[in-house]
Amino acid sequence: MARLVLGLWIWIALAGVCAAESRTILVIANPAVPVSAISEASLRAIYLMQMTLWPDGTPIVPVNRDSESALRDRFSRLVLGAPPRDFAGYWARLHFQGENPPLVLGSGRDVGAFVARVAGAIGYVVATACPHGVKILRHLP
Amino acid sequence: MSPTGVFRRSIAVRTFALLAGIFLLTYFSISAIVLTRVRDHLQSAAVRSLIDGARLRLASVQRLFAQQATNVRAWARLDEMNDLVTDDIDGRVGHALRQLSRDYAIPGTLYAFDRAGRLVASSAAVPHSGLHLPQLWYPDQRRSVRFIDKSLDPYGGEEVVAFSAPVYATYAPRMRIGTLVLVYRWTAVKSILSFGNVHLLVARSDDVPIFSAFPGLSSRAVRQALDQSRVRLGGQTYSVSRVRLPAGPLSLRWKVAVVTSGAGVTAPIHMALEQIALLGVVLTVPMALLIGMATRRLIEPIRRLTIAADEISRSSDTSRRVEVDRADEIGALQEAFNRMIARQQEVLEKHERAVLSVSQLNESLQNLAMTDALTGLPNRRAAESRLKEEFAASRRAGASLSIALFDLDHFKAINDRYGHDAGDFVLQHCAGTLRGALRAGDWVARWGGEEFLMVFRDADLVRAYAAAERVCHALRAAVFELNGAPMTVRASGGLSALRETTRDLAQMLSEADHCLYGAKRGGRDRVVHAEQIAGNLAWKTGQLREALLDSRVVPAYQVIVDLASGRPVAEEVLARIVLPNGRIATAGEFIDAAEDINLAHSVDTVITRQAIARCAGLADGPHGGSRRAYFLNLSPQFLAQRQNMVELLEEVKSVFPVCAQTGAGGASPIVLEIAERPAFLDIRLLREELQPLLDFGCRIALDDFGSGFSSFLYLAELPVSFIKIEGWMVRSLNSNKNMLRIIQSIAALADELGIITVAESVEDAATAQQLREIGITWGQGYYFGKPQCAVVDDRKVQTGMN
Repeated sequence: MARLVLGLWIWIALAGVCAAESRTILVIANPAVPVSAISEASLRAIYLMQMTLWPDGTPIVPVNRDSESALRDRFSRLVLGAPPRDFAGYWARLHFQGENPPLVLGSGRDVGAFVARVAGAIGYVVATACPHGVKILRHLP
Repeated sequence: MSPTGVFRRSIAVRTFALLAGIFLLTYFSISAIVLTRVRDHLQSAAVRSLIDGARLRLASVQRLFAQQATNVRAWARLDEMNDLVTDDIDGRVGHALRQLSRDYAIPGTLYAFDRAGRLVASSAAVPHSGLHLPQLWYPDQRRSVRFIDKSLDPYGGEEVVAFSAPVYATYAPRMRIGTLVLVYRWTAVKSILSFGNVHLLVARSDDVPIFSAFPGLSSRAVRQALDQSRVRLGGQTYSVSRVRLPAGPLSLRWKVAVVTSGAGVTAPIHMALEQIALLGVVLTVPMALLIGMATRRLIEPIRRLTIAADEISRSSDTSRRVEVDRADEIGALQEAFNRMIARQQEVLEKHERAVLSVSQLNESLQNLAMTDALTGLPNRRAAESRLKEEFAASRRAGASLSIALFDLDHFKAINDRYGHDAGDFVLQHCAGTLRGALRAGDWVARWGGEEFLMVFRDADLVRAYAAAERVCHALRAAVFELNGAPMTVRASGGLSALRETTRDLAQMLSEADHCLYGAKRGGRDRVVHAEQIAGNLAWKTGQLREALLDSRVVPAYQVIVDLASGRPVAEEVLARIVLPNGRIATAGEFIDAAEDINLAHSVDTVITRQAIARCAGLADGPHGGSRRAYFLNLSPQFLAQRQNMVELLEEVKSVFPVCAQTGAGGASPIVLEIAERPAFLDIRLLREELQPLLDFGCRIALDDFGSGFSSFLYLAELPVSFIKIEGWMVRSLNSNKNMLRIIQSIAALADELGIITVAESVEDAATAQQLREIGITWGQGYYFGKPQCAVVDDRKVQTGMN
């Protein structure tokens, strides 16, 4: 019983954390990345493919949601300051320099799984669907 | 006639056959070449087209495979493939594979494996859990797509080819996150390869056959066929041509070959064959006509020439000529033939002229040929033909005809002694004498060397005999000179008269010849006719025995005189036969006959016995003072019998006491005269047999010394006491100088050996004187006394020549 009560408590605590931030976007990364938090500026540089290496030199693998998703739109406005469609010209320009936009995955579950498995990966999910095996670098309001 | 016979006999047939043969040979060889070329060309064209078809198919397959490889490479780079990292949580990979499979209408399946080789997604509805990437499908370590050749699908068991590509993360190009495999069903490939009627054989690079257009062919057979140029299948032979794969982006290392049966080209070849055969028929007819015509044109003039030559030789008409109607070699032959005939004509004409003149010449030569050149008498040939005519004529007319053959006596001696010129002279002389002795109507011819034929026409035997006798007489009377000495020639003649029984002329001639022989044997210088011969023979065989039985065989004695003193010293005992009519026959008449009938020794025995008796008688008788020796003639027949000698010795011994006292020098008065006869006696044996007689005191005289065969042999082998010199040698002493010397040397020889010489035929005092001077001891002959018969003691008997 005591164990059950303890589990319940832990669950309530966690749920309380996540629930408190149901509208919040969690920036997650593979646990092996050498940082524990990330600034919004760094995040922005990563997602514009202007920063491609972690401080220890490992490549950064940013993961996006598909452009129709609301989360992508919110993340783009929050971090990059504009909706994704505004970056079409940018990506087109970058394409000709041999750079491709960040990898697009179809669901938050997928992003969670990917980030957990791929070294150097960084992504974002809604706070309510926080996956296991990832490192949370930042909470976006 | 056999075909070869026709060939051998006819140039036309040979020429025709040769030309036809050349034509056919040319035609067939050209046909063969054309057909072979056409066939080869068609076959190679067919093969080439098949190979082209095969290459088209292979190019299609290769294109297909290259397309698939390209697609797989592209698909491995799709963004969705990143989800292989997350085990395709969203099913995006599976969705994409299905979408692609559908869009590209892939006859097969797409499989996506994660990095660990677990199957993550596929275009087919297969259960995913637990499936792993088969080793067969492992991709290359390089980035390219790997082609997996025909094999069994590890999942489905179908025959498939596969394309396997590694999948890399789009965000990290060096990071491999999985494998994409396209499995393509073989049936799809097979349908491309099987398209059209191309017999393809395909094997993998490791020689495993993967495709065969012959359903019945085992994989082993396919593997073998691919390494050979020919393959037998169901009793038919196919040729195999390797096909080089066209270059393509995908390096397929297949071995490919097309198989062709050659059946496809049969029909065009048959067509070509038919056309060539038709051409042959169309060509052959005019060619045969042409060749036949050419041959006939060549042969016809030769045939005409042959006919002309044949006719000329058959008719012997050399004035004929053949027509020269051509300017070529045949024309030259015709001209040459005409020249030959012209020449022949000339020669024949010359020949005829020559024959004519020769026959004229012959006639004049005929006379010459019928005459003997030496004597001018008709020769034997002429005589024979004339005699034949007369014989036939006489026989027809029933007239008499007699012929006589004369042979000159001792003519050979004349020839030998005086030479052939003298012989010829003698012959001419005799011919003249004979001609002179002819009666009117008779004729004479030279029959042989010294033989003459006389023909007495209308003369029987009696008349002919008289005429012949006259001829003999005329010869004896015709004295002529030879080498300055007067001389006469004698002849012997044989006479034959035509009788009713005469078969033919040959018989008559043979009878005359026989009689001539008889005349010679009878002592020569006489004429003998057939009846005489027949009579003589009868007398000799029958009456000789009778004479012996009747004791009519008697001795005659001829005195032998010492030439120096003129006193009689001995007597030669000679045999005589007293004939019933009183005539006395000499030994010369019967001794040959006696020898012939084996009675000579009987004659000798009789004579010897009587002589010995006389010897004894004389010794005993009133004329006992006679100391004469007695020369007994012993014939070879007598000497041949040992018994005769023994008996003779007995005889001598019986009177010996008397004779011994009378013999000169204490010897027996008996002298055995041995004539030189053909040497059929063994002299040593003879001596042995005579030895007892010699021991008793009998002596030996050699008779007729100088005329015989082995005088000196006798002289050497026998203890001869007397030599009797032949009468003819003595007679020719005067006429021949050499004879004198021969007799001198005989005398000297005899003197040397202590032998007494006795000369025979001493006929006159001059000869006796001459012989005495030479040194001859004794002599006998008419000069001293003629032989006298004991029985007819006081009758003088003419004996003729001895």
